[in-house]
Amino acid sequence: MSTTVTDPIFRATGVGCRFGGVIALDSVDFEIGRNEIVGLIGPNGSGKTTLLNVLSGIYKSTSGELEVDGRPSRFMSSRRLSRDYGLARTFQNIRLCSSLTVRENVLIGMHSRFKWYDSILPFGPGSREKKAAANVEEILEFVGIGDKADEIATDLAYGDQRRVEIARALATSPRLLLLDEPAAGMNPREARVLVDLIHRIHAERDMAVVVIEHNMNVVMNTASRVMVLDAGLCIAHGDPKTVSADPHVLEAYLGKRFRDA
Amino acid sequence: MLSFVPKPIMRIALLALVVLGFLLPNLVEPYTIRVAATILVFTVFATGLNLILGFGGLLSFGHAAMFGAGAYIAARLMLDTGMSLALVIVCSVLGTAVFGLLVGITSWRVGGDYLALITLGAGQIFYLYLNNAKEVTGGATGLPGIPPGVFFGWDLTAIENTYLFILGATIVATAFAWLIGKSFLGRSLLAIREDEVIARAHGINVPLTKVIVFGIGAGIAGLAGVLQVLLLGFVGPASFTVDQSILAVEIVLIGGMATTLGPFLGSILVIGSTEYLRSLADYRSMIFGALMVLILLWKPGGLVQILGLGETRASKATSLSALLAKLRRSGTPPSRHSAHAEPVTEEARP
Repeated sequence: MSTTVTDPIFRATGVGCRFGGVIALDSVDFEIGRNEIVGLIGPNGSGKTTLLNVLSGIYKSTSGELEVDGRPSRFMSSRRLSRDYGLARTFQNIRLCSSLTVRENVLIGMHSRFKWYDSILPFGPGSREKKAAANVEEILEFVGIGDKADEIATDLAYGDQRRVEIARALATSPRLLLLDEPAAGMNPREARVLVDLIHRIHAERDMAVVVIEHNMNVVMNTASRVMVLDAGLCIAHGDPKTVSADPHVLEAYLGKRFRDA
Repeated sequence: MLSFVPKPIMRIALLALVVLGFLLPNLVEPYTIRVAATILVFTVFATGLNLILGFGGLLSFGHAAMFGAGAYIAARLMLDTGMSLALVIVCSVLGTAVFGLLVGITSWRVGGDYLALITLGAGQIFYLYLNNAKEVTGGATGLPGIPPGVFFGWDLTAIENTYLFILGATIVATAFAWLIGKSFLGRSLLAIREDEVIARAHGINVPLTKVIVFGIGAGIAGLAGVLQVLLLGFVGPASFTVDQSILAVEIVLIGGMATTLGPFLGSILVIGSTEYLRSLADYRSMIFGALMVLILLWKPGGLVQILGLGETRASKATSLSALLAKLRRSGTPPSRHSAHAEPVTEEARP
């Protein structure tokens, strides 16, 4: 079952996460290579988002080992993982700053580029603020919302808010991008554009991408490798075709009756 | 209200206001100048709190202690040493900033309602200290007879000169706060106010940023303290009670959270009405209380939003309960216990 990755950027060994008596993640082994797109699927409540939260340091795992670049990362803060190890993520329930414009939201992702004295000397020629602003324009063009930079982020259409989140994650110049249900609430056309965007992020910006998604079209058209979670355990792992035909996966999604259908 | 006025005209109007401010001593009688100076002192005081409360969303009820620390440090230095005024200002601002950092360290682990209680407590401790450490602070009678300052050869004895000096300091403090608000520090504070999880996930050091903004806000309040000493020539504990802290919160909320002109507009309304509507006496607090609730409910950008002056980055809480919930959420302890910080919700999906 296990597909081994040579020289992984991220490795999880037997990772578990429980909240009191609830076992959200039982024991998951997981590797992400330096330049691949991994799909993460599973029924509701199977632990996908928990796994993402554990990877990005927002939750602490209660058992197992985590490694980023070969260093143990189980107790690293999400700030450190973002700043020093190039880990960026988006959120399932969109989390944008409602009082800020699209541009300012994306600038939040560039926080770690600034030095303390930029807070009193933000302007002037060659200032970091200007460079960052130019960079924001480029990223917004890249995700396709270049014309909406000065609008209040939460006033945008749902699909565009998702793109602002992706833009903000890209602004941290990550090496590993975690996308939590990027296609949620998108119509089929928007979802196709998203698939393109994920491919372009992967190809042009040279980073590993993990996609959690319920929309099978998105997963099957982007991921080179898919992992299926159910009840906190990895039940299948491999290329998209094999996984979608796996009897365990069919059972998890559709029930026992459909196992052999 | 004024948002239909084109931007260049607004800029010219603002410039005209500043010029008028500088010409004011030639136009009105000393009493009005004194009121104007008081308004400016409170503008600086509230500018400090605006960074903490307006940008950072950290509810502090102890800001009068910072104001007082600046005033007492300045008073002691001016009475005991022959220091030049510039040096006194530097010492007071830095001293108050250190005091603010110490209070701010409590925000490392607590937030929301608890932080409000801790700052309230710090303010009360400071007030009791002022009343009881008679050798240092003069006790309840305070420190009278502080000599008027001389700023690089400019004698501030006359009220006109004191006013002009305070006006200059107000402009400097406002410009400083504007720069902070425009910079990455202002943005990270707004991000922390809106959602600490995203702030952390994008590389922002949340606890450190909170402590730093407490230090900066306290430093600015310390400057206001020095200006108060210059204006009154006297310090006493009565100027630094919890009432004054609440007054500052009122000014920030009514003027407009996270705006540049908010503290000034709020001061005009709150302090100006104290001076000119004395007949209203205690009804004043009632009116401002109601006004504060109305602003939080419908116009979170305060007077700046109502008048349509400049951008509004106030929290878009559509109801008071949402704002309170937001403040309370920011009190959730950070990551180590964050199992409940983000509810694990899965959207139902066909």
